[in-house]
Amino acid sequence: MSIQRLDQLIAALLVIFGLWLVYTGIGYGAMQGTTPGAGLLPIIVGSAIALLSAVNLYRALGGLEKLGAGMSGREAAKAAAVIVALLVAVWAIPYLGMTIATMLAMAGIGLVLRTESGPRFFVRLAAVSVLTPIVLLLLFQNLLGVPIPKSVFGF
Amino acid sequence: METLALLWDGILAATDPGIFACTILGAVVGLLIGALPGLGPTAGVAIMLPVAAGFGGVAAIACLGGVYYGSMFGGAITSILLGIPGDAPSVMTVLDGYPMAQKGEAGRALGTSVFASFVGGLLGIAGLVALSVPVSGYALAFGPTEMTAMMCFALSLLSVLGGRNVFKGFVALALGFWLGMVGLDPISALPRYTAGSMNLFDGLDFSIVAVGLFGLAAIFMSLEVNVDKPVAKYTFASLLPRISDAVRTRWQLLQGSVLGFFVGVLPGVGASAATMLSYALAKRISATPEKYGTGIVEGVAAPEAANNSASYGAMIPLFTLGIPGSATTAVMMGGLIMIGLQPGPMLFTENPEFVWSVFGSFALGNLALVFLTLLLTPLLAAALFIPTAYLYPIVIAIVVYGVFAIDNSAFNVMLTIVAGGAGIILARLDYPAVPLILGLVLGPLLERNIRRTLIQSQGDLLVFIERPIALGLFIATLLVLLIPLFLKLMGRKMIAADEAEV
Repeated sequence: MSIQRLDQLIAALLVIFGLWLVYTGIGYGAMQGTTPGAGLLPIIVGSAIALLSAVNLYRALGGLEKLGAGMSGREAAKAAAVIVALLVAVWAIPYLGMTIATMLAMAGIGLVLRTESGPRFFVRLAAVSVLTPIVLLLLFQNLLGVPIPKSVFGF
Repeated sequence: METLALLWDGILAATDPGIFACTILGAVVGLLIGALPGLGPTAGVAIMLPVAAGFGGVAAIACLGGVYYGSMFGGAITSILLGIPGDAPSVMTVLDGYPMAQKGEAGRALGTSVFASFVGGLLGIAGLVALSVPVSGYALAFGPTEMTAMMCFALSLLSVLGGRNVFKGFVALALGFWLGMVGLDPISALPRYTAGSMNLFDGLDFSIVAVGLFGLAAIFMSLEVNVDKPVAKYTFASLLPRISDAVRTRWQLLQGSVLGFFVGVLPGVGASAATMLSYALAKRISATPEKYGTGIVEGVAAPEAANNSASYGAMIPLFTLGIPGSATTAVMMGGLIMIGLQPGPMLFTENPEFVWSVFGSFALGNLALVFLTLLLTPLLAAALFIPTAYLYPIVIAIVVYGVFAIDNSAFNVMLTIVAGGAGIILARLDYPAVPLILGLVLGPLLERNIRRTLIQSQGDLLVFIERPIALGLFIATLLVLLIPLFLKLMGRKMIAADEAEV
């Protein structure tokens, strides 16, 4: 998807989102007598988002919006892979504990960002991925007293 | 004199080993972050925020402040040695710093940048100290109506000046307001936009969103940044600032510092714009403007003094009014809130020791950075060549542990990652993140103030314009909103500001 097409899509989605905010704001109640209700600001903010995004959509469709080149497919794929690796690691924390989940996420991210090949890279990455979470465990758990989630292995 | 005595007491308090160690830690991290292409002061402060908050009190803010002004020193290293700006505020340093390096004067350029940064920092701290007390004293007279008007003014400035497309600036601001609404309504206690999740009943923690939006997003957008250019050669002795250069650049140092400071105070403008204006002014008033861009020390001194001075100027609205004027100070505001302090004029009356100790740590950190930069430049230059495949997993792991430590919550870590992903889309589509984050910080305060005022006035909107200060600020807000129209009519363009500093 081109950056211009994405801009159009996001602007259109924001128009819908703004209208949804207005709808929910009406549900919360805009005014209760002379007292502003919980829905007043959502109505104002939703209206602003819908209106301004409609202007943005018009600009985007009319080619008036000058955007940068955006991310290359390779950059976008790397960023997506890193985000997925992190989300999977967070999901796995209750099962693997934070230390092991972080080790695996770091190794995964390192592999995604790899620019060199050969066994030396894997040894270095393994060392970084194992040592960093151990240092962080000692720092946060022992020094700062943060209860780091543990796995069935006890760390 | 009383102010100077308070600052001296603050400096003495900041020599406490714990506070000093945190100041130095922040300064070193800032140097590294500033030197690394792709990461800037906001990302640095955001990455360190959860870790620094664990230090508590003065040490936490001293550490975050150290990251902020440390990155201003560090950015010049990459600009001069590689010709790549380490961060946005050091873009102008490339223009003369890199040509100097190519002429075999890399050490001299680095020495000048360190000295200029120190002078800019020193004058910036002097301005911060001199203006903070009167501004906070004046702000004490502000009631909820004036504060509402002041927030509207600051937010309109940010949205208008923060990006290229004003409409997108306001959409970002509105999205920030919406994020600030998530959780229990502050007056009726009705849950809003929580999707039934108990995790969201207390609202979105601003610091968690900020770390994702500025810290992780900056990392995600620079995954392919690997330095493969050769570093310019220099000797350690050549790094030492020369007296002759200091004398030669005295006017650029003074002009850059003063201009940088006042530009830094303005919400939404920031250090990047300060360096551009300072460089442009130095060139315009120079007797030999044609030499700028060819590698002269004046071209390094002016922007480097300006970006350091601007970083202290930007702290004035934060400390005195409780209104951050830039992304970096917004993240610092998160630090103040996390350690249980509400920035604003009351800080000066209720926690004066805290404020002066923090200012004292800035003065110490600024001086320490002269030696740290000179000593660590070879190490920092080497660190630029660490592949992102090793460096970024480490930084991301620190962020993950830090965010988890805020509330011992894996849910928060997930929110940070999502905010990081959203940050990429916002940045690529030119939706400025600064209004969004400030909408999230100031939105709940603004809503509470507006609703309380309307409840007291029984729905009478005229209450907002009955008081002269509030009326003046609302008129100023309207004028700010008309700036893009004026500029369009005059055929002028705005300088893109703080957004690039991330």
